[in-house]
Formats: sequence, C-alpha cells, structure tokens
Amino acid sequence: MMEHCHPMNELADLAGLPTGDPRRRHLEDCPRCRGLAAAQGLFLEPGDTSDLPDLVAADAELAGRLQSALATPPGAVTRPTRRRANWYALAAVLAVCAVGLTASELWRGPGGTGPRVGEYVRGDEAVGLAVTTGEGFLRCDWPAAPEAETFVFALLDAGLAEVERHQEVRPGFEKSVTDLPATAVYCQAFAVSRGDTIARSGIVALRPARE
Amino acid sequence: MMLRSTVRREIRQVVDPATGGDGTDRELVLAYQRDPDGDVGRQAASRLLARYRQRVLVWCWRVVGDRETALDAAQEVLLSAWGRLDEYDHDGRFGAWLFTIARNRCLSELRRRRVPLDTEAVIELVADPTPAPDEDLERRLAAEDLLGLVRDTLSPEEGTAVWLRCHEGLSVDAITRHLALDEKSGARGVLQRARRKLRAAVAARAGDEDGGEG
Ligand SMILES: [Zn+2]
Repeated sequence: MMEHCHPMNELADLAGLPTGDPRRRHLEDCPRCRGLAAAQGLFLEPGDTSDLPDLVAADAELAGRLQSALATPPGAVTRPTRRRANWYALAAVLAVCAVGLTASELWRGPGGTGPRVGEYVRGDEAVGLAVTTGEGFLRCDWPAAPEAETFVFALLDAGLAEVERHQEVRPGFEKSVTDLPATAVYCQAFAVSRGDTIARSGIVALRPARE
Repeated sequence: MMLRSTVRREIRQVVDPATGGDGTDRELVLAYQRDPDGDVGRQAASRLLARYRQRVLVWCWRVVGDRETALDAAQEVLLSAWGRLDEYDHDGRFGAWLFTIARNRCLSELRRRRVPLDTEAVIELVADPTPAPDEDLERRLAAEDLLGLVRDTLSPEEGTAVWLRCHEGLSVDAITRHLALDEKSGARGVLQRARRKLRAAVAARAGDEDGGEG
C-alpha cells in the first residue's frame, strides 16, 4: 500500500475527477488502487457474461434461494440475524406441531405467527416447479399443495416484476410459446386456499423452454 | 374478487419494489433502516438485493470458477449484506460496500482451497517453474516491494491484469473481457508479457545486489 491509498468506498468516484487532481493522479500511479478500482468496476459493470454458461438459470436459482431464505409472512420477523435463529427454529417446530402436519409433507417457510407461506416440501425436498416444452407449447407444473383450490402462475421479467398471470384450478398451465410476453423470463407458482396464498414455488427460468 | 385481491397482494409483496417504484440504492437502504422489521423495510431490502443479485453471482462465479460454489457464495454474500444493512453508514456507494463483502467471501474461498493469492501468486507468475520454490525470489519480493516493481516495470494495462489475476483471483477470460483485449491472446498474452518483464526486472535487481555485495 502506497502512502495516501484510497479506501474502497471512494475508488469508484476517483476516475471522474479532473486530470490534475492529486487523488486522481494517485489512482493512475498506484497499482493497488488502480487494480482495486478495476475489480470494483468489473463487479458493478460485469459486461459480456458469455463466459458463464446458463447464467439466467443460475440467477433464477439464486433468486429462489434468497426468496426462501428471506420471505416472511406479514407480522413475522425475518432478518437473518444470529440472535433470532433459535427463536425461528422453535417457532417453526411449534407451528408444525400446532397444526398437526405429517412428517412427510409439510411447509418449509419462516416461523412466526402469520399465515405459513413458504415452499411446499415433501420429505426433505421442496416440490419444484417444472417448466417443459413440446411442439411450440410451454408447460408449467407444480404438483404441490393438494388442498389448494386454485393455483396462480406468475410470469416475471428479469427484475422479478410480474408481466402476466394465469389462474388455474389445477396445478399447471399451458401456453403457446409464441404467445409468451417477450420480457417474461421467470415463472413462479402460488397455491391459494380460501382466498389465502398458502404456498409458493421457487422462481424458475423460462429460458430453456424458449430456446 | 376477495380471493384475487389476496393473491395479488401476496405476489406484489414478493415482486414489487418496496417504495412503490425504483428507489435509489440510498433510498432503499434508508427505507430498510427506518423499518427493518416491517413490510416496507423488508421489501426495500429485498428490492435492493435483487438489483445486485446477478452482479454478485457473476463476480463469485468468475472468481471461484464453478456454478455451485458461486451460488453458495453469492447467497451467503447477499444474506450477509441483508444482516448487516442496518450498519451500512452511506459513506460511499452501496455497490462498493457490497463489493467488499463479495470480494472477501470469494478470497476466503480461494484461500480455503489454498489457491495462491497476493504476493504468492505474483511469485508464482514470475518464478521459473523448473527449480523448486525459489526462496531467494520470495525474500526479494516482499509485498511492498512487489507493488513498486509492478509500478516501475509494467504498463498500466499489464499492472491491472496482474492485479486482477493475482490479487482478486479472477479468471483469465473475465480479465480479457474487462480490459477489452484482443480475443486471440487476451489476458493470457498480457500476463505472459508481464511475466517476462517482471522476471527480467527481478534478475536485474539480483544482479545489482550481487554486484554491490561483490
Ligand atoms: Zn493507492
């Protein structure tokens, strides 16, 4: 580290300084600051990502994982802080006992006092939303939550904003690939019973189906 | 109708921005810090992390090199950022703060795998592969020394390529793309050229030392 090296949180703004500014001169002369600024630049603007196969699907998987980890029913607390972990575990166990669910089929979601909305789990595995195609059709199946009366399939764009929704009485829907909105990238399913959402699937990429 | 509105509310909770639109990073952090345990704060944090999710994943993937480890690392980074969001003090960009978390997580993964980094990696880059570990070279290339050597010997582009490879652990492919280098030789060519220059500089320095001592 040279004298007057810049902290990481200032690096991004240095390149915009006038040429003669001593902070900018330091950036140009110092391999450490220049290297870190380049690294940070690459993080903020990843550029062409064709070196990473299947990034869209991996990103969808990450979105689903985060959602499972962070989603909370209204009224419950979800921040993943250590001091709350034991309470969550206890609350989850109590919630399961209180409603008398069987051990083989239950909800995996945050504990708390609100409605239990989480991924539907059979055994140890979350019941996944399957996206398949055949002869120009896209099909989404989510064989979860048999007690649900309706299922909602939401098509989401890259920023996870809803583009289109399909309400079905069975746990699946079909659509012509050519009718898919151009911005739809992901699908997520919700199970509804007596007007309440009782479970949701992970977020799954539509891309393989659209190729 | 009742059913539909309940479902819509539930879905909006998952997919909608917290502040009713695209807030700036700062606005979303503030919304979270004002209401960390409430719906608005939680949705603000969720929106903010969704904004950076793919960037974190791409960084992790380019450093650790495989999809599954990258997914685990990215998940940890984002959850850790969420857990520490109330400590974020708005000094500098949120992206820079998040980058520090992602960088540290990836570097510790490389260290866990005993991938050489920092000085070790530069020594590996410079050292002649035929004789076994060159202790003399190691002694001569202390960390401070090394940055001086890089500054005095390499062009800015070569220095940045060496930094990204040896201090950040980035793949050669990613460096090639970032520096917008000719695809033919890419960062590999730049690193080879840097290696030759650094070796020559180390040899010249050793000659000077020997001459001075003799
Ligand atoms: Zn510096």
